[in-house]
Amino acid sequence: MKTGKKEHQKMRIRAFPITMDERYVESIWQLLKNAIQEIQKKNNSGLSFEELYRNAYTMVLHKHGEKLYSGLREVVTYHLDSKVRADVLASLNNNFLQTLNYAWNDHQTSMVMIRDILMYMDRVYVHQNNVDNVYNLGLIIFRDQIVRYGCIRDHLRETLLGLVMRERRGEVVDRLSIKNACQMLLVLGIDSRTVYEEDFERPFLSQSAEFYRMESQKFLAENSASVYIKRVELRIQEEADRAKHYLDDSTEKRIVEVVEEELIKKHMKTIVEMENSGVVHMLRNNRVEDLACMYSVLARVQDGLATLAECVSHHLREQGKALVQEEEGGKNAIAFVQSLLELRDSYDHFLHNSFNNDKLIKQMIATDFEYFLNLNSKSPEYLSLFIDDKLKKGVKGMSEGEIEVVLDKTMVLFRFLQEKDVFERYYKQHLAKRLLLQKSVSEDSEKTMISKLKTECGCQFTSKLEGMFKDVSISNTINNEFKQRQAASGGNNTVDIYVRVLTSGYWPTTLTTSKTNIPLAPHTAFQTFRRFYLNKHSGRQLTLQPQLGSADLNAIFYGLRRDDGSISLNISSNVTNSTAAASTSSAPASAITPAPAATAGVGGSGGFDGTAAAAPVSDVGGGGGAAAAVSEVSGGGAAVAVTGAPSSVTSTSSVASVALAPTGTSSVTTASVVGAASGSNTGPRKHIIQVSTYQMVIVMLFNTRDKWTYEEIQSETDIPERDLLRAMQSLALGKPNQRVLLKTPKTKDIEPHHSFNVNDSFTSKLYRVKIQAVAAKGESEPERKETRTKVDEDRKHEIEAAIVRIMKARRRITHNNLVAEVTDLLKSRFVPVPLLIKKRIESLIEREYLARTPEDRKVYSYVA
Amino acid sequence: ASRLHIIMGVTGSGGGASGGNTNSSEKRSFYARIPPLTRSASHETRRHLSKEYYSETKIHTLFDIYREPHVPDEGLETEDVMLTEGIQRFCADLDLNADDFRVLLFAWKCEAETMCRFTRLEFLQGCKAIKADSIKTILSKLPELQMEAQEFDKFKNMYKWAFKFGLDSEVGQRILPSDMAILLWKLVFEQRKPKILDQWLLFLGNHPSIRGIPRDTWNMFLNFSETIGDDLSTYDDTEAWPSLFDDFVEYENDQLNQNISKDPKQ
Repeated sequence: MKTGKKEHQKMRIRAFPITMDERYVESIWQLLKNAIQEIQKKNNSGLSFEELYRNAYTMVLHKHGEKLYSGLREVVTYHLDSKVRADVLASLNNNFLQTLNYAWNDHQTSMVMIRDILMYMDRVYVHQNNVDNVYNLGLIIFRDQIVRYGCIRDHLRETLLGLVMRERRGEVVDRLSIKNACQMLLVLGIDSRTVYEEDFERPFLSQSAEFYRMESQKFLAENSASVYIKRVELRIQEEADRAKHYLDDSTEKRIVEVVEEELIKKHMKTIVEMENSGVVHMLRNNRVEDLACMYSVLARVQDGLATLAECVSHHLREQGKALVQEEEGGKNAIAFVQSLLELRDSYDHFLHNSFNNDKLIKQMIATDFEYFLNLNSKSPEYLSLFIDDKLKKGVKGMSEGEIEVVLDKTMVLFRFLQEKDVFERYYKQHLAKRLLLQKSVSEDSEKTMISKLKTECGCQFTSKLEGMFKDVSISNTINNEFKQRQAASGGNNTVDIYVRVLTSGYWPTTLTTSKTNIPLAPHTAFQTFRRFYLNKHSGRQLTLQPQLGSADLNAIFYGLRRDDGSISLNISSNVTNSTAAASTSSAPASAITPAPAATAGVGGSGGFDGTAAAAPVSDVGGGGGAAAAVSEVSGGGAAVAVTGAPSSVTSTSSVASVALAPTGTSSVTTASVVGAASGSNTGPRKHIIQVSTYQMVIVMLFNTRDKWTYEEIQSETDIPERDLLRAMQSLALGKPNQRVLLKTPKTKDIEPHHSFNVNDSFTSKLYRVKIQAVAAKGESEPERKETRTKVDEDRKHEIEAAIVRIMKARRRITHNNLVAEVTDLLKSRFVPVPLLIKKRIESLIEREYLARTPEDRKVYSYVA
Repeated sequence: ASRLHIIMGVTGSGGGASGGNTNSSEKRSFYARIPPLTRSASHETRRHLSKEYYSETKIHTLFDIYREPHVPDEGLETEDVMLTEGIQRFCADLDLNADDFRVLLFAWKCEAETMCRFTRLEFLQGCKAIKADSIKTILSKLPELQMEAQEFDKFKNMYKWAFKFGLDSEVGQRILPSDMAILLWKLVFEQRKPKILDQWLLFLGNHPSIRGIPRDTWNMFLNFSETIGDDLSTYDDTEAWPSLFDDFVEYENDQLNQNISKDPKQ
């Protein structure tokens, strides 16, 4: 049942097996063959598809597929062989591509029809025997008999390559025929690109390589780099277009690679380094677009950007080195930093507009800046001076916003600085001057700058700087209080004094201040303040810091009318008067009067009237007051004293310096008194002279005698050599309208035996004359050395502190790891040399903080 | 037997006092003939002559010969020590120079704190350590000491001790002055001289600015001399060597380079 059912279901009508004899088969084949030939001759209109299909079906069905298949091959081959090839060959020199294309189209058309009538063979015979189907068979035969036939193959290749070449030379060519030929080659590959590749693409690529090889030679010889790269860009575009338009798409990538190889990669060094037109030339002449072109061209090839970056870097370093090179007699710090900022700006510009903000190039620019900025050991100082210049009052005509922009740029340079600790030291010095002399353009700008530094280096870096600001505001309060107290107690003060109390450690003060002899009046004023202050804060110690102070002096010059020699009593009495006036002027005080006034008389020619109070810092804004610098040392360490805790640390005493300055009210008094004084004299000119505390000390000497030698001044005042020299220089050798003293002989150098007297013929349009400090820009060499020594000394401590910190955490560590960690810990401040670290380790071993472990001498352990 | 003791004591010290270094060999041969007589004499003598025996009393007596004399004028109790003068006499009696390596070895056994000074305790300890109680027995033990110092561990111990020994404790030195270090290095390495030693000492001698040798540098020199042999090219200044070795190697390399650059010119 089951089987029967199955048979029933699967029952098929089977053709009655007819054994066909040879002759019948032959006749069917002849029929088909004729039909095929008619198709090839395009006479297919009279053919019956149904009949032909059936005949082919019959042949295949009766196992004569083989005959049909091989017969088909023969017929097609013959046709192509005898007819088509002859046509093509005949057209070799005339319309070759068109003829070929024509033949190809015909062949394709006929093969489609042939395939259709032989469809059953494709389905069964081809399938069973795993041979090429009819259509593909046609392609294969066409390929072998026509396209790859000896001279046709060569000719086709030559023709195509020739056309491309002609187009490259600028001729117009028949793009369509090239496209058709390429399409044909692709189709002939059946399922692969091999035919296209072998017969066209490979020769095409190698010919192109050859072509561009030649072209690059010629071009390089004839053109500048910028023309060359533009040409390269153009060529690449051309080739890409060509491939897109009439070659196979996949060729685009390959041909572009070839062009890149030949035109760029092989010559990139030459192009980049081309004299008078290469990258250096472009950078020099600000050729932003050329550089952009160079960038995009070189970015195409491997190592291209590296080559470009290397060249840019080389040039940048040359430029940078030239900028940072120390000239004889030092550099102008402002110009130094300005030039670096400009360099930085120009390279930033290139980076954005030419180099597409390329990471590699950006990194390289940073590295280069770091390299040459640190070549000059004065960079930290210059940078701080530059910032100082921007934050200082002056006629720069910059808004706060503009200043901020400049400072931001400066911070970029700061980031490159390796010796940030040196910068900190200078910054502190410069900030101190700004704060004490009240030269800051605005407190906001100062604070922004500090916060920038804080962001960059952490709060440890800026804590002392912030402490300085705090001191200033506390000083304001104290001085107000002091003044109120003075007023309440009946105004016993002779000199208007303004004292800034500076916590030692925050400020660049020195503990070893020499005992400069401060004139009595300002000294008394300071003593009053000292008593007041120590009364409030017992246990502290105040030390005067004369190098930080300034003073305003009332002076009267008597002009040239009198001979030097003839000192008349008259004058002296005048002087006395004026002195008195001066002293009063300097402060609503009478105490000062006796001292300077009496002495002033002696000087025949002009006297400085006394004056003002000397304090470390004088307030310029005030009238004729004087300032004296005072620094305060608290017995038990500054910090301790400030917090009010009993001092336990005894050895470290903190210094605070104090600034004295006249107040506004005093200046009013001054003016009126001076006016009165002037009325009593004919001719003499009165001025208020703004000087440093040291200069005040010097100038007031001339109230007692009219001639002093340098040696005498030195021994009388006890001012440190260097400060004295500087003070004397600006008094006697400064600008003519600031020359208060005259020097004999009139040479530029100051020798111990040279003598000085008051410049009676001193004139100035201004009532208030500020004596500018000489050589304000930067430090002198010996000072620089001193700073360097201090920095080195500090570094020793910092390194040791770092070592101990690491050792505390690690307990045991190998030498190399320790060195690495120390370097890492300190890198935000400076880059310690391994040798330096080693020496510190040795010192710590010696002092038994560390020990080598007995097992391994290269491992240290922490000795708690 | 007791008589012999006396003779020995007398001759031992007496010979030294008379400064007769020349007849020491004679004395030795003289004593060499004595023992057979006494050996058979009593059990006690045998013990005395055997190497294990020593008498603390005799060590004290020996020390007293050389100790710093009590000066009554000063009224103060003088320290119970042997100082330069005493040590010189002691060395003379041993027929050795004070800067002889063997004297150093003896001082090492005494664990002497500082040069030119033996305290009674140190001296006692040293003699006990080598089991000797007379000039003669000390002398006889010295070759053994020399042998002992050949052992590396013992040598190292001695080497480390020598640094402290060289410091002038009176002024609280913590760093060995260069000239003293040079002398001490020469002496310490008498039996095992490192190849690099001469160059090293020459370097130290040529650089008077070197402030001295810290303990760590002293200790590390032993490692350095053994690691480096005489081939300075293997030196690595990133290793944990004291920086003085960096300077030394740099100096030596400079010398070498100068020689090389000079040669072609000649």
